[in-house]
Amino acid sequence: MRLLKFYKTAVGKKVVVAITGVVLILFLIAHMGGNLKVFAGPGVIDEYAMHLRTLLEPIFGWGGVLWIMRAVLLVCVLAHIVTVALLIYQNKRARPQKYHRHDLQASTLAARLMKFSGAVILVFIVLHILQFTTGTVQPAPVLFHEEDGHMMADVYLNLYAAFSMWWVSALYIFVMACICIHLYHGGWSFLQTFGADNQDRNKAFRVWAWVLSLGLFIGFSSVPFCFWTGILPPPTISGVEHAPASSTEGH
Amino acid sequence: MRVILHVWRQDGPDAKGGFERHELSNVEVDMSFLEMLDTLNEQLIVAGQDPVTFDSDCREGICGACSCVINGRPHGPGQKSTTCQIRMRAFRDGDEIWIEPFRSGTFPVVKDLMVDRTAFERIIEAGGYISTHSGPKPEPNASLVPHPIAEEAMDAAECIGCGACVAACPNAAAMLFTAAKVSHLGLLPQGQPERWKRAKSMVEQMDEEGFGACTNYAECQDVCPKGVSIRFIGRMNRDYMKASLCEPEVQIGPLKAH
Amino acid sequence: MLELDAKIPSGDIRDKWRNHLEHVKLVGPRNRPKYDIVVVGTGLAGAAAAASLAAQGYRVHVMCFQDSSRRAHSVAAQGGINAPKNYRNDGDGISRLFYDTQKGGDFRAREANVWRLAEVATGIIDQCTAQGVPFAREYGGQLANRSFGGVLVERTFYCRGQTGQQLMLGAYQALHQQVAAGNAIMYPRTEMQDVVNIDGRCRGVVYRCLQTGEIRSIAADAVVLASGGYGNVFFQSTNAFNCNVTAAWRAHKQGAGFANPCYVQIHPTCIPVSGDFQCKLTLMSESLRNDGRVWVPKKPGDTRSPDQIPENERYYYLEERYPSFGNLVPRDVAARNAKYVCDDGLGVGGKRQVYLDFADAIRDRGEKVIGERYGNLFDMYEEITTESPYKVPMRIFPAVHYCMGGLWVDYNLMTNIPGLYAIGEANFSDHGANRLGASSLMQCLADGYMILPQTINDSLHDIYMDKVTTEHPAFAQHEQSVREHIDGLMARRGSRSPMAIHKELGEVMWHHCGMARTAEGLNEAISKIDSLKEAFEHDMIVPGRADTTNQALERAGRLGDFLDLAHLMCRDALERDESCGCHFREEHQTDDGEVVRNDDEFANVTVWEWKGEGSPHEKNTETLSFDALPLMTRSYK
Repeated sequence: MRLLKFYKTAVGKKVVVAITGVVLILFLIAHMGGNLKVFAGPGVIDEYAMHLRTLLEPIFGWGGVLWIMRAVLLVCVLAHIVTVALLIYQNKRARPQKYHRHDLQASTLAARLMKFSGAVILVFIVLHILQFTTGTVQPAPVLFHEEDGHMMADVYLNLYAAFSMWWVSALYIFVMACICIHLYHGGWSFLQTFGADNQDRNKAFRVWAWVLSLGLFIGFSSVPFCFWTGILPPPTISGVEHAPASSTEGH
Repeated sequence: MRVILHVWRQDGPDAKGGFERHELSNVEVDMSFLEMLDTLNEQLIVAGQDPVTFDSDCREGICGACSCVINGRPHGPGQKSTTCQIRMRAFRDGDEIWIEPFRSGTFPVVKDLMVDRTAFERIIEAGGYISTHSGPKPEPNASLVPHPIAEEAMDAAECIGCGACVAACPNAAAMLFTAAKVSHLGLLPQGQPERWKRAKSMVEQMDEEGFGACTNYAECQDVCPKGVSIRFIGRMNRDYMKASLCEPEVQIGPLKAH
Repeated sequence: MLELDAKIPSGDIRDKWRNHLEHVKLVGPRNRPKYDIVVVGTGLAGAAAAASLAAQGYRVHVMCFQDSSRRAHSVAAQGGINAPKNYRNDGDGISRLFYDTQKGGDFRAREANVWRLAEVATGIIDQCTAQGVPFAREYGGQLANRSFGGVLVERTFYCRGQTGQQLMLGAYQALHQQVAAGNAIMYPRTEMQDVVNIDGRCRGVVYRCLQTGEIRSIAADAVVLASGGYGNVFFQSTNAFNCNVTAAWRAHKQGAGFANPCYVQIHPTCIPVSGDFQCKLTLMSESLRNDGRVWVPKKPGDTRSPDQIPENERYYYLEERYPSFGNLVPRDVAARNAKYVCDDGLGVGGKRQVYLDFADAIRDRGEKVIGERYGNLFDMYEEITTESPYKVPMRIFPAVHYCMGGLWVDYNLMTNIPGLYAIGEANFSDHGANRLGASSLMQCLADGYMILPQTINDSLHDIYMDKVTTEHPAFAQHEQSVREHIDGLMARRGSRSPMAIHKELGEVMWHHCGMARTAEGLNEAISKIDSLKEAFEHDMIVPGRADTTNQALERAGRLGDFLDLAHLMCRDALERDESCGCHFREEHQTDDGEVVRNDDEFANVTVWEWKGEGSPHEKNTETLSFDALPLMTRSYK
């Protein structure tokens, strides 16, 4: 009841957006860490994908932890989006008559582009899952193999196949730029929303937002960039059983 | 100097408004913006036309009455100043100047450039005070306030309630106004007993009035004539979170918006 | 003739207020909600009184012409508020504040009121602190003080350069707490048009809603006027654009005596006039004289820039003429001396302005310290003049600031009409012929928090028995006459705007009834005012409609009252054939230009009685007695 009342106010909603945002940022950092394993060689990232599924297997079963994480992420994404939508509705109602001329001056470009960058990211998330998780959308054939009785996508192979196409890489990097500017504002904004900001810390928080957003951008974009430019070598496909490309069973 | 004015004219809250074009050729650079409007009005009156209605009172930047948006910026071109403090030397000869009222659903237009800001009043009534009666009170030095705390409280207390923060906010939020009062009183020892109730009721009243939500654009602090900082918004959020989630609940509903 | 019984309690001056409180009749808490009290004006005095009365349980109706009660012009007071706390251990105390105020007012104030003011002043600081007013604190956490003109102690409390604003917010918040509690009802954007007297007692007001033009009434058991001063009769003043005398003047027309209208304070440190488009002059706080030094070049018409003028060619006229008070002489003295040096052609750049120089203070204390003290004032000055006071001296000149005159009130702050009260700047009160700096906030809050809430019961205690409602025919009658008055204004289709006539009135008043007055000049002014009144009646134009917001109509209504008041001010100044405080008649001065009082004839309050449109006012006097502090010649040398 108290939580519901809290959520009813704009400040309460902001806090929800901030908390879910923080969870998603943490996820992105972890995700990026995983992605960067491609630089350690084809075997390592596939091993990492395996690890994710076997983590705490005796308790949660095969891929159990992964599913828990996915559930948490899904809840966060939904809460983030629904709450933002409610806030946008409230904001639209708060100013029924627009200005003839309204010069924004203090706000950052990132802040003004939040809705746009957020929408791009939403579309991307859907496509991204369909491409690499389920293999439904395939710019290049997605390859699976069987391991311990489970179908596993060939991570390195699939990355190579997709990002060798220039437009996939370019699109991916563009989306990463959107994430970057989304987080440049978000990374500072959640601290402000939580009230951690003050005049002494503000500069440091701005620097943090730069580091966070640029770090994620560079980290994520380096993978497609390196596949595209050929810095990362093509995979060796020896000793791998190929599943039919049309298979949608993946984890 | 000569200026071309596009002034918003609107007969009443429900009337349809529009811009009216006027040319003024006898403008002096030392004039304040409002004195320039006075000059326009004098011409209109002598011609038997309805003068432009706008709020103003102290004309020295402290009462918070004046309220136009000039060329897309509340209180016009200047840092830490109100419309009455803007001088015509901020414009160039031949400039076109667009003058609009503060626009927000919570600030209905009364007439022309004059708006109704009583929503702010109700936010204060929801808890922006320290409950006292008049009469004998304890010796003020009996409760010491460290210099930095007194200064911080004063930084927040400087708000003049003009509403420029709402006007500038792309979301028409009243966070800066509310946060200034919550912080001013919440920082001082006298304000502690009602601190949580105050933060909670004032935030709820803000929504009840129909103000927008903060997305940390920071446009508000840029146009604030008193330079009230958005760090107070963070402070209010913190107080509000604590009040809503941790402190014992106080039964007090929001006041009715009109 | 008016009946002027000041009702000063008997006994020693130290005991009067306490004794009085013991004998004031009371209203029980259960009966208080049965009383309606109207408060007109929401400045410090009005808001404080309304909040205090509502907190006691009375039903309080509060009106202001602004859109919010927080905007009253009390917000503009910069410097501070006095209280004899003696935190600095420099010999301050109630009797010292009493002495300073009485002497500062040049012995034209009512002694018992002044003592009471000094007595309750310390309680105001306690009250305001409890409300959360963020007074400046020292590093140890204790309240800080600074010094103001006309005194030799540090007793001024302050909140940066916004003391008035912060005190106002304290009162405003207290008032709106009561609005939320349902004890007070706000009427913003409302202008009082008339008071309604029934059977010799004030029983309500007629007001105009400034948004819809509706004329309505409120029936009440007491009416409190806290409508401020009339400095805008000079057109250019430091008052807010819309400050007016209408509420007080309409009450005066219904029989309330108007006391000492000629006492108008001219503030010495304002930004000089820069053009005839100006309707508002900006004050620079008196606190600047703590560190600023006032001077002019010794050579008339010297056009060198100030840093080119060597020390020995500068005339520090205040320091030279008043060695013990120096730059901190009272306002009337500082203003008059600025006028003298400009009359002698010593004004900076040949214009009517003098320097207020911070170079020495910045050299001694550093730019940072001075910036902390006056930063916001310096910024404000630079914004208006484009000159930085950190680099070049400020240029200043006196401007109309405060009115010591106002409605006559007795010790209970009630006018001669039972049930009608006047508080704050609206009454003639405690400042005599000149007010000291940081005393207006003190007086407004003393009246509002401390005095009126305790004295108003005295006239209220049994009148709820015969409650009057707005059904009473007197209300309809007054409403009708207000409507006719407004229709009369709307019917004017001449060629001059209300503002143009007002501007001309201001010039007449400034030249003839300003810092220095002569019999000849005052007579001339009276005839000019009469011809302006003609113009007002026959050559003014009021555009638009009366049933909507119409600021030209508001202005026209106020101008009519200013014209009548201006006439009375000149007559008062003419008949007060002496100099005292700010009232300076050139006929009565010493060789070096100091005021010469005539205590034998004029140790009194002049109270004017309205005798109807077109008939001259009738003069009444209240004789002042000086028992606690005998009359003396004031000197700041």
